[in-house]
Amino acid sequence: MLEFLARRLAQSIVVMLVVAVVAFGLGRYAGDPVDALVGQDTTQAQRDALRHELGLDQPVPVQFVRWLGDAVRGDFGLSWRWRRPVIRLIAERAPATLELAFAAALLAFVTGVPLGVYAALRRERLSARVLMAASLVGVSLPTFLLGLLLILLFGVTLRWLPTFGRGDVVDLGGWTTGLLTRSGLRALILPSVTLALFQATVIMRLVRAGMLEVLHGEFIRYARARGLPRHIVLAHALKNALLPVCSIAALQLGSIVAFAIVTEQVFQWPGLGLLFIQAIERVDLPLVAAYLVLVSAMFVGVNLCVDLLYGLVDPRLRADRARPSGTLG
Amino acid sequence: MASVLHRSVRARGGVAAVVLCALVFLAAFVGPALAPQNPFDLADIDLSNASIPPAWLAAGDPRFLLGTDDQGRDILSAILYGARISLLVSLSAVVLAMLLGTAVGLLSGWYGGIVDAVTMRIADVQLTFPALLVALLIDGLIRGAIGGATGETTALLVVIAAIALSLWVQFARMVRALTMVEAGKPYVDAGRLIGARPARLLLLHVLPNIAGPIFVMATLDLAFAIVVESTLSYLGVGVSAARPSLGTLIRLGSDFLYSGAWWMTVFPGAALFVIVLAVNLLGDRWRDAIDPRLQ
Amino acid sequence: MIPVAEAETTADLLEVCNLTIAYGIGTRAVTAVDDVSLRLRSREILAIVGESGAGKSTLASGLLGLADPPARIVRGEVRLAGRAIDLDDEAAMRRIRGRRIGLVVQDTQAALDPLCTVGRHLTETITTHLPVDRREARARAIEALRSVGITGPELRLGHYPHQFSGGMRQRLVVALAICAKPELVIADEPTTNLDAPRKRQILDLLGALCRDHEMGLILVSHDIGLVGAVADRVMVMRRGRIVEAGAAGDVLGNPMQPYTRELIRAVPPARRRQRLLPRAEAPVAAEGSASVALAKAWLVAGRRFEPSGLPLLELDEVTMTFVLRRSWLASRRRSERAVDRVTLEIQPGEMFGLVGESGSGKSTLARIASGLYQPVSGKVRFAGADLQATLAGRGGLEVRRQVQMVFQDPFSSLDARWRVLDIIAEPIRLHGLTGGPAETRDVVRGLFGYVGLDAHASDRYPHQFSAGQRQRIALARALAARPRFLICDEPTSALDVVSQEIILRLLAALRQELGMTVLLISHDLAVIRQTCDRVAVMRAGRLCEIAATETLFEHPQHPYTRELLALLPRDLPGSAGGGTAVG
Repeated sequence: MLEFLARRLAQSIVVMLVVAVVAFGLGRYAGDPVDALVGQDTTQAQRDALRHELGLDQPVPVQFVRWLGDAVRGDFGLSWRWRRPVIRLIAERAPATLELAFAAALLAFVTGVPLGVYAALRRERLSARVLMAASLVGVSLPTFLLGLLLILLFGVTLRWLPTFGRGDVVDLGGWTTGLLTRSGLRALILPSVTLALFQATVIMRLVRAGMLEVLHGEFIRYARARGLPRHIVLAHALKNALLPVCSIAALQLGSIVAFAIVTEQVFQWPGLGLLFIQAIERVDLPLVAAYLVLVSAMFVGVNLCVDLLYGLVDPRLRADRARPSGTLG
Repeated sequence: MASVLHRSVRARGGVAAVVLCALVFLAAFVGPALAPQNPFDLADIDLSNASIPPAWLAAGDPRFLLGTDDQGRDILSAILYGARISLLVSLSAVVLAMLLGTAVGLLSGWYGGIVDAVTMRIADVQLTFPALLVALLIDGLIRGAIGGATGETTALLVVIAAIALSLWVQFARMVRALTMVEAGKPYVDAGRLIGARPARLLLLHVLPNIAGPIFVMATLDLAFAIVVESTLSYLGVGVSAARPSLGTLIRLGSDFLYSGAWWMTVFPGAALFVIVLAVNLLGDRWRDAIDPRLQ
Repeated sequence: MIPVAEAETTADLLEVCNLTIAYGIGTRAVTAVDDVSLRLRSREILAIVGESGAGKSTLASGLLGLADPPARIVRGEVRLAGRAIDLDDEAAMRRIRGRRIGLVVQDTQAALDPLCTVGRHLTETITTHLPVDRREARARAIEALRSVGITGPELRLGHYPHQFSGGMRQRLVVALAICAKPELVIADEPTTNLDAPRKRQILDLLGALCRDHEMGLILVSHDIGLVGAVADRVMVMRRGRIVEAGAAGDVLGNPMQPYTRELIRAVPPARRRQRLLPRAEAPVAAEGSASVALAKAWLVAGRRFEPSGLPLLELDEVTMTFVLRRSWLASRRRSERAVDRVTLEIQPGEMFGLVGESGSGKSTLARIASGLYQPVSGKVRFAGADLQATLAGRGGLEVRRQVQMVFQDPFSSLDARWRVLDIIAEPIRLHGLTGGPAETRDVVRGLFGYVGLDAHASDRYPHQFSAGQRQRIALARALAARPRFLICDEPTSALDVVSQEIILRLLAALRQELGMTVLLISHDLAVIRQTCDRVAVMRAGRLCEIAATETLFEHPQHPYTRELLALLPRDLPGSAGGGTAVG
C-alpha cells in the first residue's frame, strides 16, 4: 500500500508542477508585465529599473524557480488591476466562497446520498421513480438559470429573501463570516440552494447507480442464500458501496468549486469566483495564476485524501498478495 | 446502431425521448426559416417595439408572441436563432471531443507502452479539474493570446475548442479501457493470425463493438456541453452578442429582471431547459438500452 | 412397530411435486423448469445432470426461493422433512436458507464479500441461525474450516477472500454451506472452475460430509462422468424436463432414453483407445455434398507444400516470462515464468497433444507456437525457418496464414457484429485465395457444410448459434486460411459432451482427409487419448514428459503424469469404452 500511496503522491506533484508551469507561463506570454504595471508616462529608464527589480531580465528557468519559491511562500505578486498583493485579495475573498461551498456541499450530500440510497433500495416504488424523474429535471437545469429563476421568485415577486451580496458580516480576526448575523444567513440561502441543487441531483444519481451495482452483485445474492437477515445484507451492500461514493464525493467537491464561480456571478456574491471572472475579463494574470494554483492544490489534496481512504479501507489494497501456505492451495 | 435505437425506443419513456429530441432539433435548425422576424437583422427591428410583454398579457401585442426585449427584438425569433447557435456549438464540440478522444483511446489501448503512459498522464492531470473550469480556463487563455477584439466566428471557434478540449479526456479514458478489453478477446487474436493489420482490426472489428457506450457518452456529454456553453455565454466569455446563443440571451435579459420584464429571461431559460432535458432523457434511455445487465 | 420405525428413518427429506418455473409472461414466457418432481432422502446424493440451459441452475435457485423476477414459480409444491414450504414467502424462506438448506455456489470469486474477513462470513452465518454466543460461533467456524480440510483454521479466520486460492475458496464455500448444520445441501456446479484433481477432491469432500453429518446432497452439474461416480441417484434434465431418473448404476449402466445414452456415450473413455469413426453422425447440409466437395477440393488445392524431412514446428529452449507486478524497487518486482525452457518438435501430419492443468503454461505455449507472442529466450522454427524473423520479413503474410488457431471460449472467438459469412470469408478476401466474390461465397458455403452446419444459416450472426456451433464456425474460419498447422487451444472445454464429440470427429477428419498437422491442447486426458499420436505433459511451465499416446497412458514415467492419470474419472459402464471394466 505504501507503494500505491507513493505513486499517487508522485502523480500529485506532477500535476502541481504542470499547473505551476501553466500559471507561470500565463504571466509571461500575454504581454509585458511591466507595461501592465506602469502608466504611459514612465520613462524607459524607470521601466528598466522596474524590470530589473522584478527579475524580468533573468533567463526564463531562473525566473521560474524564483516564481516557484515565491509561490510556495504565498507571494504571487501584485494584481495588475488593483495594485495590491494578490494573496491579500484572495485571503479577503476566500471566506465568502468557502462558506458558500461548505453550505452547498452540506446541503447536497445530506439530500443526495440518502435519496440515492433510497432510490436504489426501493426502485420499484412510485416514490423512487418520481425521484429519478425529478433528478432528470435537476440535471437539466443549469445553475445560473436556476439562480435567476429563484431570484425572480423569491427576490422580485415574493420579496422574501435578499438576492445579492452577503449581508452583514462579522470579522473574526481575518476571517469574515456571514454565519453569525441574521442577514448574513438569509443572504446565504438562495446562493447555496442554487449551487446545491445540481450537485445534489448528480450525487443522487451516482449513489443510486453505485448502490444498484452492488445490490445486484453476486455476493448479495449469496448472502441472501445463506439466510442472513435483511439488515446484515444491507450492511454488506452499504460497506461495499461506500468506497465508490467517497470518490464521487471528491469529484463533486471540485464541481462545487467550479460552479460556485457562476453562482457568485448571479448573486454578486463577493467571493473568489467573482474575483476570478473579473480577473479573466480584465486579463489580470497574476490573479488568474494564483487562483489556478490554489484551486489545483485543493483538488489534488482532496483526491489524495480519498486515495488514502481507499488504501485504508479496502483490504485488497492493504495486505500484500500472500501466497497461501500449505499444499491445499 | 439501428438495433440499439430500436431498443431504446422500446424502453420506458424512450419514445417520448426520441420524439422530444427530434422536435427540439427540428425547431432549432429549421425554425429560423419560419421565425416571424430575424432579430439580428438591424433593418428588421424597431426600437419603438421595445419591452413589450407576452401576447396574452394586457399590454401584449399579437405580433410578438413571447414579447420583445429592450431593443425591440422578438423573443420567440431570438430563441429560435439562439437555440440553433447553442446546438451548433455544443454538437460541434462533442463531435470533436468524441473523434479526438476515440482516436487517442484506441491507440492508447491497443499499443500500450509509451503512448499509453504519456496520454494517461495528461488525462490524469486534466481530470483532476472539473470540466467547466477547464473550459473556462482554455477559453480565457485563448482569448488572452489572441488579444482584444474577437470576431463572431472566432468567438464561436474558441468556445467550441474550449468545450471540446475539456471533454475529450473522458472519451479517451473510456475508449482506452474498452479497447483493452476487446483487444484481449480471442477474435482479435484470430484477426491477427489471419494477417489483418492493426488499423483494420481497430476500425473494422474493435470500434464497432465499442461504439455503443461511445455514443451514449456523446449524448450525455451533449447535454453537459449545452450547459457549459450557456454558462460561458452567461458569464460573458462565450459566443459574441452579435450572434447570441440562449445563454447570451439569458444574460441580456437578466439585466431587466428587477424592472419586471421577466419574459426576457424566463422564455429563453425555458427553451434551454427543454433542450437539455430532451437530450438528457435520450441519453438516459439509450444507456439503459445498451446496458448488458438489463437485457 | 418395525414398519413405523422404518418409515420414519426412511422418510423423504425433500419432496418436490410438479414444480414449474418460468421467465416472462404471456406468449413470451419461457419455461425453464417444466413439471419437475423428485425425492431425496437423508444421506442420499442426487446428481442432476444435463447440458447448459437445461434448467438445472434455475431449479437449484428455485428450491431456495431465490428465483427472482423475471422468473416466477408457476405451480408446484415443495416439502422439506414432510412440511410444505412456500417458495414465495420471503420471510419463511429466509429462515430456511442457510439453516435447513445450504448452498454451494459456482463462482466463488464473486460470491464472497471482498471487504469481510473469512471469519466474519462464517460467524455471521452461524450466529444468524444458531443460538450461540460469539466465542462459541468462532469455535464452530474453526471446526467448519477444519472439516473441509483447510489447514491452520485459526489463522485463516482473519484472512480475506482474495488471499485464498480458487480451490481453497471452494472449500470455504462448502464450509459456509454446512456451518449452520443444515439438513440439505445444494451444490450448483461446484467444480466447474477447478482443475481435475481438485474437482475430485471437492466431490469426495461433499460426499463424506453428507454421510458424516446426515445431510442430503443435490449435485447439479453438466459433467455426467464426474458426478455419476459419486452420486447415489441420477436425474437427467433437458430443456426443463426430466428425461430420466433412477439409481446411478441403473441410469448410467443401462440408460433407457436415447438422450441419456447420447450423453453417456459422448464422454470419452479414458481407459482404452478407440478408433474414432470420422464424421459419423455430424449432420451434413442437404444443399450439397457438391459444395462440400468443392470446399474440400479447394482446401486440398492450397496444400501444395514441398515435403522436407524437417519437423513442421520446433521449439528450442523457449522461455516466456510475464510481469506480475511493476515496482520502482527491484526487490518488489515479481514476474512469473509461464514457459520454462520448453523443447519439442511436431512432425508434419501428426496430431500432437499437450496436456496440463490450468496455469501450466499451455495456452502461452500455443501463442508462442503461433507467433502471437515472442518468447523471451529460445528459438521457434516453423518449416525450418525462424518464425519471428519470417513474420517480420517479406514473406510474413504468407507464413502468417499457414498457422491458425481455434480458441477456448466460443463466445468471444467470433466478432459479434459480423455476419458469420463475413467472418469465414475474411481470410479468403484478405489473402485473395479465390478468383472472385462468387467463388468466395461458394467456398464459404462449402466450408459451412464441411463442419456440419446448414449453409443457409451463414447469413446469421454469432449469437444466434449455440456454443458448439460457434466452435465449428471458428474451425471453418481457421480452415478458410488454408493453413498448414492448426493449433486448438482447449477447443472443447467450454462445450457439453455432445458438441465436444462433434468437434473431435471433425479434427480427426481433417487429419485423415487433409493430412493437417494439429496441436491439440487440453486439460482433459480422455480427450487427448482419443485423438492424439503423441502427447506432452506440462506443469508450471515445464515439460514433464513426451511420449507416444499409448506409451504415456500405459507406462507413465514422470511422477506428475502418474498423479494426473490416477485422477481420471472411472469409466461409466455404458460408455463407448464398453463393457465391464469399471475403475
